[in-house]
Amino acid sequence: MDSSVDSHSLLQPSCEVKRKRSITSMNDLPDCVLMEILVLLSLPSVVLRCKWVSKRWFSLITTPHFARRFVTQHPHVHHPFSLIFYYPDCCSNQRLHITTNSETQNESELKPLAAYLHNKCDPNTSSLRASCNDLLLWCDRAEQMVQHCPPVTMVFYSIINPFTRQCLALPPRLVPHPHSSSLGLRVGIICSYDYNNDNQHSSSFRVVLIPWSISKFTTQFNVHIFSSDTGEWSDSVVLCPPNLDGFKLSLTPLSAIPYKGFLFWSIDGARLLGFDPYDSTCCCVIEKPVQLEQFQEIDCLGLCRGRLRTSQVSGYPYRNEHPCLRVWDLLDFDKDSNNNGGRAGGKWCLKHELYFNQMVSEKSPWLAQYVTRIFPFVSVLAFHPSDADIMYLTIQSKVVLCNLQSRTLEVFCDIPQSGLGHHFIRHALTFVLPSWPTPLPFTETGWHC
Amino acid sequence: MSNTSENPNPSSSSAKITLKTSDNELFEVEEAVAMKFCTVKQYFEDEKDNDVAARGSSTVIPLPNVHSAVLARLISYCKKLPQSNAVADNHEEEETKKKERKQYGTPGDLVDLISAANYLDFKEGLEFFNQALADHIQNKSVEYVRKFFGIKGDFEPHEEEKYREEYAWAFEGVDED
Repeated sequence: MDSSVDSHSLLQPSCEVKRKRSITSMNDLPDCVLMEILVLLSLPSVVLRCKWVSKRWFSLITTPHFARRFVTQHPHVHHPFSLIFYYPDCCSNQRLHITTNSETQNESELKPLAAYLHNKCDPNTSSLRASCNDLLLWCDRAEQMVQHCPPVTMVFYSIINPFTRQCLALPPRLVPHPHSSSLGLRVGIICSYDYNNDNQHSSSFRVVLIPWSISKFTTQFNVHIFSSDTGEWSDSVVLCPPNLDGFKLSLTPLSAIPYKGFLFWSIDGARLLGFDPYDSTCCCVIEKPVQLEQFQEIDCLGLCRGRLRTSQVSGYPYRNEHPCLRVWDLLDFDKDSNNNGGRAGGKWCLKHELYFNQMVSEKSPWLAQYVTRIFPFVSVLAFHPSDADIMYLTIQSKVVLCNLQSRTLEVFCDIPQSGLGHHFIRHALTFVLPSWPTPLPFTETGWHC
Repeated sequence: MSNTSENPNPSSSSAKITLKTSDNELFEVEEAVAMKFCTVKQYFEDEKDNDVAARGSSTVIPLPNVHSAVLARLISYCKKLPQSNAVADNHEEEETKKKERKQYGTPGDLVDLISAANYLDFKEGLEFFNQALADHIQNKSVEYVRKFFGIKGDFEPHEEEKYREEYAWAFEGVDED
């Protein structure tokens, strides 16, 4: 040891050091240093809690620059997700189910999310209608305006980020009186947040409503679009893609899936309608998967590893043959080459085809037995957003994890107190936490609702 | 406090640099150690360029923003620099690193170390102490962080209320020590 300082005694602070009050306070540290400390916190939830320490911390944390630094600092974080769905219980009340998988630290991030949504969203008076990453479109309530002729309905939507607990109420919107109980609207939300843009402090989003119609749209259809940039609703008349013999929105209201700047809804003939809310003249149709069983609709539409994915359980319920689960991914969809003719681009490619009688279950052998019997009732709930081999089914009041590669079925969770109506569970909304949570515009009126 | 007069090994052949702290303590440190502090390095090189180097080791570099107690601990840290600040590969490794970071005292001490490391432009040290401080903040409530670091919650009452509302769901897993 050839120095003036004895390192051992210094590692255990000497009495003198212990007695001395610290010289610097946290308040004296420059912004850049404080930011470098906060960037090292392990999880977005921890950072978001810390923003409430003081105004200074708040303003440091809520910048695109901070988001960028945080994402660079934690590059390999996988994205925890929740599945959110409704089902009728044994007393025919609607219930909201939110799965969270808390095997890892990152996934326990989402635990408080379920409590928050359960408290906020009464499943019997309101409903979560669509999702885009960590933003949810929530229909708070709908009021019929009977004095109008023809009758109209006032709908109240909000955008919720249950992770940051931001909630933004959209201005109420009049829509034609619904024809059916499901409010007769097909809705979707698409958002973009680019933390590489220093001027973008919050996300830009669009909410799209398409009034459902029993008759075919042959030449044009109406859409209502809310833009976060203007804070207003606007109406557009969209021309149907040419060379298309019209279309009908499908009866099953699968929620719209945002993909490559388009929102996709299922339409008749197991096709998809894509609509670009940022350019309301732009829409397209994707033809049905070739191997799809005829006269049936697709069971589920979602995103998996950034690709649009769909599936069908075939052979059920009208045929006396073993049901087969097919999964397709959309390939070669190119937004820009899509303007020529409306049909260009996007081909479904069959990724998996497996028969339920080939499936096994190690922990719940009854599952394998159940699916091999005649007419099992299996419905597709959701796709795993990042693992292409995994999807979620509902079977007998259970959410079942299906591994397409190993052909196994295992119980993922129970659906508590589900009545017979579990047969009518629509597919789930997928909530996926991005590397940095999507911030909503920060306004006095809409910040909390 | 340690200073030049206590140097246990005055016959060492390596070049020494003398640093003078805010409380007028003198530290004679190896050139290799001192050069980790970019501020010192810059000062030293400027001096050289100005041809004052003729005076050799008698050059005293003043550090008016660094207290002797803090500098002593920074030097001690330099000597046993952890191999790397890289993100740990596994949980065990991460725990070892956390323990190592815990040895550097209370959060108050860490703030001093960070402030000094920042002034001295000592990058490795800054990263290390930043992480040590982040470890302290990690599982703490907002109230704890405020109290512990003497930060005044300066939100308006209605904003403060909003935060309580928001976080009514999120207090699971928060240490209150």
